Amino acid sequence: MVKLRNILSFGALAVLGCTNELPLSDLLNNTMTLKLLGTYESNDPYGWLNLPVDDVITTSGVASSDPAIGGGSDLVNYVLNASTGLSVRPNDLKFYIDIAEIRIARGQGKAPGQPIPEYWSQFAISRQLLCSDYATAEPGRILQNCADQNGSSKLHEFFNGGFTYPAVDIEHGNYNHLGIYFRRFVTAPAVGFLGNGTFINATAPERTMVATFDNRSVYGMDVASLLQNNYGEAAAEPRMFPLQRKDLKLFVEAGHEPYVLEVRVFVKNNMMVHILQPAGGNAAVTYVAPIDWNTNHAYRDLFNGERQGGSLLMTARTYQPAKSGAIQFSAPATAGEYFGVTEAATMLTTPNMVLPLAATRGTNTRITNLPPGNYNVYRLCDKTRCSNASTPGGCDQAAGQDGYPETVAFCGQYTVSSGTTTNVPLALCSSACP
Amino acid sequence: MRQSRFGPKVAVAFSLALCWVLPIAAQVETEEWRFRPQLGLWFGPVTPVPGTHLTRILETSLGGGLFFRMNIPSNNLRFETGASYSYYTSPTIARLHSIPVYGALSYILPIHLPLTFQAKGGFGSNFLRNYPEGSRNWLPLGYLGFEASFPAGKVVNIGLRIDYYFVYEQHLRPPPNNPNYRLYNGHFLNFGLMVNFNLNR
Repeated sequence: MVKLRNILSFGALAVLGCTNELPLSDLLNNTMTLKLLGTYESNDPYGWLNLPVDDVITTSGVASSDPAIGGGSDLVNYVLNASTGLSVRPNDLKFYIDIAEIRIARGQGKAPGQPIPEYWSQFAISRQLLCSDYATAEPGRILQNCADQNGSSKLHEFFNGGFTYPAVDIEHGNYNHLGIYFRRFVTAPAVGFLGNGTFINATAPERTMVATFDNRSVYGMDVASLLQNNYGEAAAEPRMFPLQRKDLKLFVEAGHEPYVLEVRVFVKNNMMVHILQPAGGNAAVTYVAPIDWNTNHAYRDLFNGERQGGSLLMTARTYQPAKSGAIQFSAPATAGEYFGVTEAATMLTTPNMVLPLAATRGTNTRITNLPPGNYNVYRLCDKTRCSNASTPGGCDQAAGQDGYPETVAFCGQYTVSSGTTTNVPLALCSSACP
Repeated sequence: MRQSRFGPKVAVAFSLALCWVLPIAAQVETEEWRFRPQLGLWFGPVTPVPGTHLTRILETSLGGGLFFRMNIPSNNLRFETGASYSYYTSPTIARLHSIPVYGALSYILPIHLPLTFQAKGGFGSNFLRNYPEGSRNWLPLGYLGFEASFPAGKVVNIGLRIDYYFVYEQHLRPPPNNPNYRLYNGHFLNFGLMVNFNLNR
């Protein structure tokens, strides 16, 4: 009888389900939310700040330009005019960003010949178009795919807390490698000038440069191609395809507790007005691209003028909102500065070449969504810039400010617990950024 | 005389037995009824039913299976049991292994053509295991099927079959720590090129 009962109960279990595991619903429900942010800050970012300008452009003209671009030229006035210049109207910046996918992996890169799915987890393969507006350079045409995806509001979210990138769950465990595949990164305004800095089109200067986006022409310049290589480099693996890091510490818990995979790319307030005036040519272009905080932009170099790679940074982390804590500073820092944290095992140094694990703007005082653990806490300031007097390919002359927070002030190491707030006195964020 | 208290029950049972046996006897006399088991196998495309939630994740794939069929004392009904294996992939990393096991009654449609048409209905259980979560379970299933086949000699029959599986997961509980979690059932279609063998000619 006992045997019969066992057999019957096994049969019943087979029919009705042995466990409460949910093989179908688990495929359709997401435990992970993939958030893509275009900010240094992980919470409460700055609005748009005035644009820094490459230090070769000054009110007295463009340094070392040939033909000479003088102080009163259209180009200098277009950039630096105190009330109408591009530098003081960051809200007129436009972005047209095309992201193919985001991938995650364990390892130090795909081996030659290794199939892509064997190395990468292709968990976010939905192409995303982000655009400031839907207008094109083609009469009667709009950016239809971007409009269909509501790309304008997505771009707004990208710069203000992040947008949710469509993705499926990934296997639990540790990951260290994450890459974002940028197809296009078009910025506007980009303006073409004659070699001496005179407008090519004085009535509509911002309609002189055209780039391709969403199968259409838009006014602007695709700076993704400028970011693919570092100074002096012709890398086989472009730096924007993917924009990647292999030293991340991403831990995905097993189970159904919702978590966020936050991916940040420092775009907002990391933009600078640059100039290209290739030697031997008779044209100049001003455009907006990431700050040359890492290597001075060789704006007259035919080869290296278009090599600004490494200036766009990314990072990623995971956290479970229901099991997170916060860090609270006793007072705000100076406008333009940031507060940031790293895991206790990682120290930031000056010059600061990486994004902190989490950060907020200096005029906010709270870093949220921190998983329990020990953190190094920092105040990050902009005390230097990569001056045009630097050795080519380097950054050894660094007087001035550019908007990128290269300087680090260590505030101490603190423990964050789930559901609590850890206080940090601002006075302890010492010396380097007073 | 004391009447047996089993008397009426025995009478009912006897009547029922007669109802069962008499048609068999009739068949034996007219069609020489005897046990005719069949063993078959199939392979072909498998897919979540178009328009259902799983099509957001999983793609059409290939599957295959085995079935065993035997006649029962009826002109039009047979009993079938079968199992199959499908591995669903996706453009992302999501994967699903599925092994449905079912038992069904198969009704031979009274259409007098060289082709045999059968409509089937039954139930069973479906083992599922997904990736990346790795969750696995046996879930109850409902089964509907349709088959068209023709004999190719005395041993072999060749045909096409369509199977529909309703896989019931909504009787389970959602995880307590995920308030937005929704439960879903599964709907799958299998299309198979089949061949079966008459084991007893």
